[in-house]
Formats: sequence, C-alpha cells, structure tokens
Amino acid sequence: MKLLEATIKNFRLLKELTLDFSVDPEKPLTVIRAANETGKTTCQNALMWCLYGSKVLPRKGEYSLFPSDASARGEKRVEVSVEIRFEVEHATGLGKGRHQLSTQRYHLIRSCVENAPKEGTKPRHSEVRALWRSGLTGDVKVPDLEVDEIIEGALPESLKDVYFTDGDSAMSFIEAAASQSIKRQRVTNAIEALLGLTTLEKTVSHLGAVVARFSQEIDNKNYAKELEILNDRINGLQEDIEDWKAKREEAELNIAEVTREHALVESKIEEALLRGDKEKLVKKKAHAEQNISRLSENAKQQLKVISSLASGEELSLAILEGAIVKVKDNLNKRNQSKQLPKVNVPILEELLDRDSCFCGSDLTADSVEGRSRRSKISGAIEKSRASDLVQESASSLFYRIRSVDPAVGAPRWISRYSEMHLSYSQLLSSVAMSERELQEVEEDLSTVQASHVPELRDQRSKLLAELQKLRSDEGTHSSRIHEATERLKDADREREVVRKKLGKTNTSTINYDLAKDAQVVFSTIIDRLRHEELKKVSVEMNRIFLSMIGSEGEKSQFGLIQSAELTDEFDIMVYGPDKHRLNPDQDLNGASRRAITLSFILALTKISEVEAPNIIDTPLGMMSGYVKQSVLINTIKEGSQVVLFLTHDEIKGVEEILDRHAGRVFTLTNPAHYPKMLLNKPEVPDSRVVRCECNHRCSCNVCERKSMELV
Amino acid sequence: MTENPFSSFNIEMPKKYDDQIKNYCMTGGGSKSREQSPFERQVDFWYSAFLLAVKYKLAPAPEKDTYNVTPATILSTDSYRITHIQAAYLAITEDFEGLAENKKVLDFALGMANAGIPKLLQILSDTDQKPLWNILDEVEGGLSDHGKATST
Repeated sequence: MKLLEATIKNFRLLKELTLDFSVDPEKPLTVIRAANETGKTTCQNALMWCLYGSKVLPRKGEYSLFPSDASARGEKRVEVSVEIRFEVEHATGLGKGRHQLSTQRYHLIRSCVENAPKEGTKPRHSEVRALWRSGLTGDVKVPDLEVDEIIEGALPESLKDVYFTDGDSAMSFIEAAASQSIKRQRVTNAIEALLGLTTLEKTVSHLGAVVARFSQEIDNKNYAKELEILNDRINGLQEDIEDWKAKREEAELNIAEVTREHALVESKIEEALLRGDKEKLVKKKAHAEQNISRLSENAKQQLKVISSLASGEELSLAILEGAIVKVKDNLNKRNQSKQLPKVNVPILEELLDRDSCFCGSDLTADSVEGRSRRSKISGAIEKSRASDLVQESASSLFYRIRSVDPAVGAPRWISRYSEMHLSYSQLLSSVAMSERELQEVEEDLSTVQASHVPELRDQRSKLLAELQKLRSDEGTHSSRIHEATERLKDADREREVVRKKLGKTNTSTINYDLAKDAQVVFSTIIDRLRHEELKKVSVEMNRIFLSMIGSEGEKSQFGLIQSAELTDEFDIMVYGPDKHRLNPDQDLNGASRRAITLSFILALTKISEVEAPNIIDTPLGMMSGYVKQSVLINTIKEGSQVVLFLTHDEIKGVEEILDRHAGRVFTLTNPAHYPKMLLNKPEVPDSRVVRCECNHRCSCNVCERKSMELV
Repeated sequence: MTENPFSSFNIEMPKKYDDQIKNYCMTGGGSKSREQSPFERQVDFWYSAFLLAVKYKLAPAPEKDTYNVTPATILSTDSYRITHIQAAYLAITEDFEGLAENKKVLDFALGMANAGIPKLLQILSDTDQKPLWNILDEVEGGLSDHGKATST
C-alpha cells in the first residue's frame, strides 16, 4: 500500500488540511516539519480513524473530535471528514505459476457529525465510510461488504501500531514503566499480528470448541455423570478464561493509554520546572531589578562626572595653554627686571613691631637712632603702598599662575575622557545585560505561572493512582487466567481418562479424536511459525540495529554494543562484549533505545512482506551526530514508504540526507504559538493548524520561528 | 582661597539665547537627562562658551540685551576660572594696565562668551548624537589636532 494524499476537515484543530505523500521510488521519503503541539499525533489519529473507525481512537473512541475553539464561538456540532487516497499492488495469476503485478487506486472517505462535548450525551453520530475504486471510466463505489477486506489487505488493523507510531510509543516495547510481562505481551502481540497468527489461534480455539461439543455428545450418549460434570467444569473454565482475557486486554489498552497521558503530564511538569522554581525566579527577578537600579544610578553618576569635562579645569588649561604660557613668560620677565613690587611691605611692617632690626640695629622709639630708623621705615612703607594697582594685580596673577603647568591640560583631558567613557560604556553594557536577564526571568516567570504546575501534579497523582489500579486489575486477571488454565489442563486430562473408559466405537468419540488431533496439529503449526518467524525478526532486528548505531558487532572488541536479540520468551535483549547482557531500558542511552525499537518495528515490517507506509512521529528525538544520521538513513532504506513528522530540532544535522531522499517536504504551523514562538502574526481567522510549502531549509511569514534559548 | 576681583559684578548672557541655554543646563529647568543637558549650571555653559571663543580666536561680542545669570561671586567656587580669565585677557589684549580694571577684564570675558555661545549652541544641537557627546567629541577632536600640531 502506498499513501497518496489525505484531506482532513474539522478533525480537532485540523480544520482544513491536505497532506500529500511522496511516491517517487528514488525519493520515497515524505517529511512533515512540525514543532511540538502542531497536530502531529492528531494527523496520525485522523488517518487511523479514516481507515479503522472510532474504535482505534484513544480511550476507545471517547476522544472528542470537536475543535476546542468551536465551543467558544457557540457552535454545537461540526461535520468531520477524512479522505485518504492510496494505491495497492495486486498480483494477478497468469497460469503456470506466473503472476502479473497491477496497481489499483482507491479513495476512502469517513465522515461523521461531532457534537460539542457535553456530559451524558453521545459525541458522535452519523459515522459513515465509503471506499471508491478508481478506474478508466471513473470512480466506482466498492460494495460495503468488500471494504473491510480491501483495507485489511492493504494495511491490517492489527498492524496499525507498527505502521503508525511515534518515537515515544515505539519505546513501549522496552520502556521501564511497563512490567516484563506487559513488554513481552506487546512484542508477542506485534509478532502474532504481523504473522497472522491470530487467525490460526482462532482456528485452534474453534477446534477446542468442536472437541468440547463432541465430548459432550459422547457424554450425552453415555450419560456418565462424571463426564458431564467435567464438561461443565471445562466449559465454565473456558468461558472464564475468555472473559478474563478480554478484561486483561482492556486493562492493558487502558494502561498503555494512561501511561501515555502520564508521560505527557510528566514532560509538561519537567518542562515547567526546567524554567525554574517560581520562588527562585521571583528572587532572581528582584535581584535583577536591584542590579538595574544600582547600575543605572552608577551610570547616571558617571555621566555627571563626564559632563564636568565640558567646562572643567583640564579643558580650560588645554584651551588656554598658549595664553597661559605667554602670560607666564611676560610676568616672569617683569619679575626678573624688578618691575613687580617685592614683597617688602609686610617685612617693613614687621620691623616696626620689633625693637631691633634683623641686622641688630636699634629700632626702639626711645632712642634717637631708633626713632630716625623707624621714620625711614614708615616712609618706605608709604612709598610701597602707593605702588601701582596694576603691579599688584600683575603680582597676584604672577604668584597664582607661576606654578600652573598648562601643558598637562590636553593629555589629561583626553585620557580622562577615554577612561570615563570606557567606564560608562561598561556600566551601560552591564545595565543592558541585567535588563536582558530580567526579561528572561519575567518570561520564565510568566511561563511558570501559566504552566499550572500544581494542577499538573494533581493530574499526575490521579493518573498514577489510575495506573496502579489498572496494573493491579491486569495482574489479578493474569493470575486468574493462569490458575484457570492449569485447572483446565487437569480437567482435560481427567476427561480424557473418563472418555477412554467409555465406548471406543462411538462415532462421536472418533470425531472427538479427529478434532483433538487437528487442534494439536494447528497448535504445533502456530508454535513453529511463531518461533521460526521470531528468529527471522530477531536476525533482521539485529542487522538493522547494529547498522543504525554504527557497531561492527562481535567483530569489534571495543564496541559497547555487540548484538541484539529477540528471545524465545519474546524479550528484546541487547548484548555487550562477551555476551554480557544489557538491559535496553536501563543500560542504553536515549538514542540507542530509540534505535533498537525502530529496528524492531522495521524488522517486523520487512519480515511481514506487507508493503505499507511507516508513518513515524518524532523518530529522531534525543539523538544527535552519527546515530541520528544513521537511524534516519536506515529507516529510509528499510521502509517502503516512510513518512516522518520531524521537529525543527530533529532536522538539524540531517538536512543533506533530507535533500537526497525526501521527495516531499512541507511545514505545519500552529498559529497559537504566536507571539511566544512565532515571529509573525498569523493571518487566520481562528485556531487551526496551517500548512505552507516551506521545506527543511527555508521559512516564510507563516512558519518563521523565533530563536529561543530557554535555559 | 583666591580673592575674587569680579565679586561685585554679574555674569550675564544674551537674552535671545535664554531658552536654548537653559535647555542645556540641569539647573536651568531643562531636561533632566545629563546627555541632553551636559552643563550642571548656566555659569558652566558660560565658561565653556568663553573657552570655545578663545579656541576659535573669536573677537569679543558686546551685547546690550542680556539677562542676569548669576552674581560673579560664583566664580570663587572654581577659582582657577578667575586666574584663567585674567591670563586670557592679558595674553589676547596685551593690555597690562587693564589688568587692574576688574570690570574691564570681566567685560572681556562676557564679550568672548557672547561670541562663543552661537558656536557652542551649534555644536550642541547637532542631531547625529546627544548634546553631551557632541561637545565632548568636538573638544576631543580639537585637542587631538592640537596635540598633533604640537608634536609636529
């Protein structure tokens, strides 16, 4: 089977979306680039719903298809439809064992009316399905009775989880959250579904019923009380076992569903916590605000100091350097030529206060000589005081300016301006850095506030409690089945003994023997098929896995992983050097765990020889470098038509591989990501996933995203 | 402290520049941003204008229609300005006798500042960057050129 195109209408947020798939044998890969929460899982659910109906939707169909934003607009019901165009190869016999391959195209349409979710009402009605066969004369409607057969032949429902998968669900074959018995059961179910063993098992079961009927006939003819009791007991036990098996299967389905929901809630909590604890963020925000305030004040003060340079002393010295030098020269010359008054008046005045001169001469007023000398000194003082005011001003200027060095002005101004400007620039950078830090903290804070961590934790607790109850139910049913099976074996042996005691010529006894033999033959066939095919899947899985992780297997003595195996107990095992057993869900890194589960799925599809698309959501999560590229190349190589939903991060590092192998690439965008993650305001009237033709190397107004570094 | 020979006079600037000048001074009711108003007081603006006039060898421009900025006693807070004004007067006018006439010296400084104000306003109002960086970059350019001229 090859998918050609799918058109989805009003399926949750997929209001009007067309997906087309590459059928180019040279480039068989289709890549749908889509960020998280862009409807990748919804696309898969829509395709599966179209093929198999509501029973395959999560929670056994109790999964509302109603677009979440339609209620807000007052809409009460919407018409939902999904149309898939596909082609299937048929082998037509030409006699003598020769066959001719021909391709037949179909389109399948499933539609329904979906009501807005409301307690106590049925959400979905008028669900109809129609299959059309394309021919030269136009499309012909396929009779309803044949539709299931054609779809089963193209892509069996039992294999839906193998062909429609995602990186996380694929891990369910080895995940630690599941018990060993559940993991085994998943692997067993996948293999049995793949080999069509379920049909054979139904045959064995049917033969069991025939055996019981003949046994009853024997009993009726012989009226042996003992045999009647045994038959009643066996019938009762068989009914009980069937009933418990159904209940256990239901519990397993619910466990898988709740586990998936739990993982989703867990990842939301982890994501929210990664952004930080709210209290810490509030403190970080206050710290950043204080930093900004302090640094801004420092920058303001620094500006004040810088502005003083526009009229300060250094500038004055620098500009007036020539004038000051000239004046200093001038006044120096006048001083040397004694044109400036000496500083003698204070000295003379001091002498008048003394009784003797510095030279020892008498200056007392009592002596004649002293009085004469004092008179001369007073005269000299008067003469000096009459000195020209000009000389005084010049003298004052001379004494003030003679120690000034104007040559230092310009270099000092330039140096101070450089230092201050550098310091101011650094402060501004620090302010900007703190502002960025504040913005990031505020964004984280708003996300933490919006993430409702307490509500998510509450939800997680409820899911864990539900999971525990379901696991307990599943365990109880398994124990009951085991116990009843043992009792059934005992009863069967007893009945065999009683039967032998009854008439051996009875035809019912012969029929009983035949039916019993046929049952044994079919059981043996199942056992052989199961184990032979299991071996083939195991070998194929080992080959693909080693190729994906780039291991040379046992040839390499240094390789940490040397082989992988699917054991007879249906366990997926991985071995290191010297056959050292590694636990896939504990000893392997995330990339290798995904690689082993993808290898298992690809091996199943190879061995089944069913040509069908592998539609895988986020297969390259947690991978990088060689393994990422190798897993992608091997997935493309081993699958017949590979459709990958890849996030932008997954695409990083594998662009060249996509260039070579992808025949179709387009992008899905959820406009609700604006403005947090999308750069441009979306031009759509409501909430809906939109498609653009951008490939893995380009973006447009619709899909261009902001670059984000959260942590 | 240097005795202030100008303490009995006032510092005045042309009325026609009143608003513009105040706009560039923090205490003049101008913008509160230091980058927009690089001068703390109007007397700092006045002294900067005086220096620019000396640098560009402008002739004093007496102005009758002036407003009283502040008493010249304020020059005592930056006493180097008194010394530098007197030195500039003596160097430019070579009027040795005039040095004793304090009013005459201050009038010279006022005239020079009047001549420098339009130049200063022109530098400050360049829209390429904010006024503070306009004046500082202008000065830096001038002083670097001066350095080169001196070294050559």
